[in-house]
Amino acid sequence: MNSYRYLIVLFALVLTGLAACEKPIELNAEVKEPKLVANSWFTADSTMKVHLSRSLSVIDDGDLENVGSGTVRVLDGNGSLIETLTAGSNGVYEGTFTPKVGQTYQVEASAPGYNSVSASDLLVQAVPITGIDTNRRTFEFDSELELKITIQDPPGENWYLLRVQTIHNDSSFVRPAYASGFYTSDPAFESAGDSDYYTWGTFRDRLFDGQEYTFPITLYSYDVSFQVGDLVEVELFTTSEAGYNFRRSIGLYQEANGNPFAQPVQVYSNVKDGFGCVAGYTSFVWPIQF
Amino acid sequence: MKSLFTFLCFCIAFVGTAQHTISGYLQDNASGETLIGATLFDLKSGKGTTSNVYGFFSLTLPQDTVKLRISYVGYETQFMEFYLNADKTLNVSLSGVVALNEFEVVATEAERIEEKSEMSTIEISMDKVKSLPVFMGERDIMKTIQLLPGVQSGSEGSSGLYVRGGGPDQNLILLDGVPIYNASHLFGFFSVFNADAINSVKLVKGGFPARYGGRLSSVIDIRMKEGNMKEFHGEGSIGLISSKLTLEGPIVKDKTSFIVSGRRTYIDLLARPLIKAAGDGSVGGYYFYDLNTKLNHKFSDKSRLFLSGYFGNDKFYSRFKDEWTSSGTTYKTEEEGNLKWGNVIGAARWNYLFSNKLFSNTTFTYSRYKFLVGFSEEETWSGQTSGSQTFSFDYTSGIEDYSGKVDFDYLPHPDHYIKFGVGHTYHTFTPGVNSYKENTSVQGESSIDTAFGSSIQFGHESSLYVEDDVKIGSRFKGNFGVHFSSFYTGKKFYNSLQPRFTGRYMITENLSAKASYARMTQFLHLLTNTGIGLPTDLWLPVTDKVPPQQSDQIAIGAAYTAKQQYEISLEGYYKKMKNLIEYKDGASFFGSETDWQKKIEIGEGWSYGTEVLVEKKRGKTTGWIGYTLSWTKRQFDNINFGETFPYRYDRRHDIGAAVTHKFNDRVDIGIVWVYGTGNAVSLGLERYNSLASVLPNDPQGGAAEVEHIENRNNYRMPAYHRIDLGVNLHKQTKWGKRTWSFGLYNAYSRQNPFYLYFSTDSNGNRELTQVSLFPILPSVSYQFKF
Repeated sequence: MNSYRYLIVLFALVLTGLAACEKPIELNAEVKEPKLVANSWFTADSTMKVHLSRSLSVIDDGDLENVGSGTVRVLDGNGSLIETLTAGSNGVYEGTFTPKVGQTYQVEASAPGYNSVSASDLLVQAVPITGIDTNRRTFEFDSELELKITIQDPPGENWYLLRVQTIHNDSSFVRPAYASGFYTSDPAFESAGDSDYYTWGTFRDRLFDGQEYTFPITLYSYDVSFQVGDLVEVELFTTSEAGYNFRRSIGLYQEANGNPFAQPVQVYSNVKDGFGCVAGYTSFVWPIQF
Repeated sequence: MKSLFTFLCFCIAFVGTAQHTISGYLQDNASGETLIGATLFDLKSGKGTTSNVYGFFSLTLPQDTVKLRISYVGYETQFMEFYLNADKTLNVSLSGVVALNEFEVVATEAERIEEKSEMSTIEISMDKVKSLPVFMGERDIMKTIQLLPGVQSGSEGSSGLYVRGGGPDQNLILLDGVPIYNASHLFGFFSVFNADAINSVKLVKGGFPARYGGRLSSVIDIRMKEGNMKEFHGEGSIGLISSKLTLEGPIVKDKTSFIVSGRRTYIDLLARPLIKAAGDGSVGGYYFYDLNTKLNHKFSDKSRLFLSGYFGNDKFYSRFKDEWTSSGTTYKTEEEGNLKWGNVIGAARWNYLFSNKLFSNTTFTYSRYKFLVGFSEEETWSGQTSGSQTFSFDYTSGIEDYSGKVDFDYLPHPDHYIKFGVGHTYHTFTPGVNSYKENTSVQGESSIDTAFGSSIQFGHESSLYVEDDVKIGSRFKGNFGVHFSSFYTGKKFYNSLQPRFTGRYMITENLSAKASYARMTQFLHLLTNTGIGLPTDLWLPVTDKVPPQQSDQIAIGAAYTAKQQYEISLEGYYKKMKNLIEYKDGASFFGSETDWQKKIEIGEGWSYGTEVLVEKKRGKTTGWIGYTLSWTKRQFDNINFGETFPYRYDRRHDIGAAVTHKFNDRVDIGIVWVYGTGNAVSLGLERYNSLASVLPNDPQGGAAEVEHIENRNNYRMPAYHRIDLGVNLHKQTKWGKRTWSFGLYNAYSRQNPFYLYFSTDSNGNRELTQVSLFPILPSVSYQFKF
C-alpha cells in the first residue's frame, strides 16, 4: 500500500538522518564450510527424485552450485537399500522406483568434499475432499467466488497444504494456467502474513482431529472472471509434519524477506548435517468446471 | 511462672503508658516543596518513620520526652526536643545544605540503605540527574536510570528500559501516580520527562510493595514538583535542539501554588528556510513539545487538592504542492503526510487526613496515548475538463484510560506502617485501525469510506491491596502485603492474587541481609518487533485467547554502608515470566488487515543474575558504579522450533558508572561510562537454495535462496561502550543564577552498533556491515534560574 511505503520512507529518512556511519566489521563467528543441500518432494505419482546443491557461508560470494558428483541412496524404513539414484542434469538424481503410500523413505547423500547428509519421511495417505459448495457473487465493480470445502480428517495428526489452480479455456491467455490466491479467515489456517491471503494455504487438524471439517475460502475479482469451459482445480495436499513445517516456513521467509520490520524467519530443514527438505506428499484434486 | 509474671507486667506497662501521635508534613524551607521519604527518628525511644509521597508523616510514641532528629538527603538535619503529653501536629521545614555550603554535597543522617526493608529499590537524586553529562544538551531521567544495575538501555540513544530481563511494556511508569504508556520522544532518543518539573524519582526492580501492580518488571514512580508556595521563581534552558521554561510560584502564599513547565524542539523551525530555499514545493520537519502543569491548594492542614496535567506530542510532517498545465487543463496536486504520537494525562488528587494516624489520597486520572500515521492526496483540475479526486489513509493505534483510586496510609504504631487501597481503571484500546477514504468526481468511479484492521476493545481493571511495613525486634523489618487485581474483557474475567514480601535482617550495625518475593500480573501486552521503541508498538489487552502476563521474582541480597559514605548493595535475583507475547515468525506491524491475535505467539521467559551497586553520596566527589551479570531467555512453542533462545537484550555484562565532582561553587564536572555486552540478533550465517514449491512444474515455484538462521538471536553484536563528559559553569547574577553546560557525548567516538546487515563491497565481496548512529557529539546549553 502507498501509505506503508510512505511510512517506510519516513522511517528511513529519520534513520538515515541520524545514521553517523557504516563500516564493515569482522564476522565474529566460525566461517561455515559448504554443506550438501538435499531437496525432494516425493509422491506416489512419480519416480523418486532428489536435488543436490551446496550451501556457502553467508560471506562467501560464490555460486550456490548444483552438486552432480554425489551419490544418493534411498533406503526403506528398515534401512534396506531400495535404489541408488542416477545423477542427471542440474543436480537432479532420479530413481526408477515409485514411492508407495504408507512407507518411510530415507535419503542418504554424499559427495566428495562434503559431509554426508540424510533425511527420512513418510509418504502419507491422501485425504480426499468430500465436497465443495460454490457460491459466486457479482457486485457492481467486482465479484467473488466462495468455496466451502469439506474434508474428512482421519484420526491422528495430519498436515495439509491447499492450492487453487485456474485453467482458462482460452488460448489467447498469456498464462492459461495459474495458481489463484485466496482469502480465508478460518482459524485452522496458520498465517502470520500481511493478511488472510494465501497462495499456498497451510493448515493442520488441531481443531478438528478425526472429524469432518468444512472451511471457506474466497477468490476475488480477476480470479473469478470465468468463461464457460474454464476450470478451477482445488488441490488438497496431505503431507508430513516435515513437509508442512518446510512449506509454511519457506512461505513466511519469502514474504518477510526484504522487510526490515518483519520478524526473522527460520526455514525448517529435516536434513541431518545439511540443509533442505525431503518430504512426501499425496494430493487430491477437485475440479470445478464452468 | 516468673516469665508469665514478667509478661503480664510488660502488658500492663504497655497498656498503661499513654501513647501520643506526632503528625504533620515535611517541606523544603525555601519553596514549600514536599520532601518525600524524609526521616523522623526519636533518639530516645529508637523509633522512627518516613514521610510519604505527599510529605505526610505520623509517629506514635509513649508519653515522655522525645528527641526528634529530622533529616533528608541534601538538607540540614533538625533536632527537636519536647515533652510529648498530647497528640501534636508538627509541620517541619528543612533548609537545603547546598544553600549553606555550596562546596560540598552532604548527605545527612537519612535512613541508610541497610536499614530499609525494601530492596531492589533506588531513589534517584534530581541534583544528580542535573549534574551528569547529557545527550544533545537534554537532561533525561530515563537515561540516568539506564546507568543503574539491572536496567538496560536497549538501542543506542534510546530511553527505553529493559529491567531484569523484562520488556519495555513491563515498566509501570507513573507520573504523579498516572501511568504513561509511551515515555519517548523522537523514537526514544529523549524521554517525555522534563527534569525541571520533577521533584523525585524512584525505581523499583523487585520486591514490589503491594501498592504497586499491573506490570511485571519495574515501577518508576516520578513525582512532579508542586510549585513554590513562598515566592515566584523560574528556570529554563536554551539548548542546541530545544529550549524549556519552568515557572512556579504562589497564587495565595502558603495556600495555593502552581507550576508550569514547557519544552519544544526547533529543528523544524531552523530548517524551514533551507527547505523553502530548495524550492521544490515540499515542506517537512519534525518537532516535539511537552507541557507539565500543576496546581495545588491547601484547604487546611487536613485537606489538600492537586490538579496536574501533562501534554506532549511528537510530529513528523511533510507537505508537497505542485501545479502544471497540459492540453489546456491546469492540474494541482497537494500531498501531505504525518506521523505523530503523544500522551495526554490529567490527575485530580485530594489528600485528606481522617486522623493523625490515617492519611488518605483519592485520585481520578485520565491517560491517553495515541499514534497516528496519515497520508492524503488531493488532485484538482480545471480548464478543458474539471474535477477533483482525493484520498486519505490513516492508521491509528493507542490506549485511553479513565481511572479512580483511593489509598490510605495508616500508622497505628511506630512498628507498623499500613497502606491499603482500591482502584479501578476503564481501558479503551485501539490496536491498529486503518481508515481509507476516497472521493472522486470522475464519472464511473465511486467514493470509498472504509475502516479495517483490529477492532476497538475495552477492559475493566480493578485492584485492591494491603501492606504493612513492620518491625519485629531490633534486627528484623519486613514489608508484607497482598495485591489482588482483576480484569474483565467483556467476554472473560481474569483475577490474580499476588503475595508480596520484602525484608531485612540487621547482621551488624552497618550490614543487613535482605530477601524478597513478588508475584506480579499484567493485563496489558505490548506488541513490538523493532526493538528500538518505535511508536508503532501496539498496546493490547488480555483477551479470551491471550491471557495476562505473570511473573514470580525472588531476590536475596546484602546492603552495607562503609565509612558513613559508601553504600554498597549486592543482589541476586531469579524471575520467571509466563504468557509473554511475541510476533510470529515473519510478522510485522504492517499489514494490520489481520487481527493482532493471529500474529502473535504466547510463551515464557526467564531472567536471573547478580547486581552490585556502590554509591558514594558524601563529599565533593559523588556518584555510583553498578555492575550486572545476567542471563535472559525466552521460549515460544512456534518460534525457534520451540527451543529456548536468548532475549534480544540478554546482556551478560552491563556496567554503568556516573561520577560528579564539585570543584567549587562555580565549577562541577560529570563523567558517565557505560559498557554492555552486545545485543543478541538473528543473523543468517549460511545460505543455500531451497525449493519454493511443492510441485516441480509449479509456475510459482523455483529455487529460493535462504539465509539460514541457526537459532533466534544467534549472533552477538559488538559490545557497546562510551564515555560522556560534561562541565557545568555556574555564576550567581543579580537576578539569580546562570549555568553554562558543555558536554561531549561518546567522547572517544566509539562506533557502537545500531544494526548489522550483509552487504557487498566494491569488489563484489560479501561482508558484514555495521551501522552506527552517534559519533562524538558536543553539546552546549545555557540554563538560568531566578
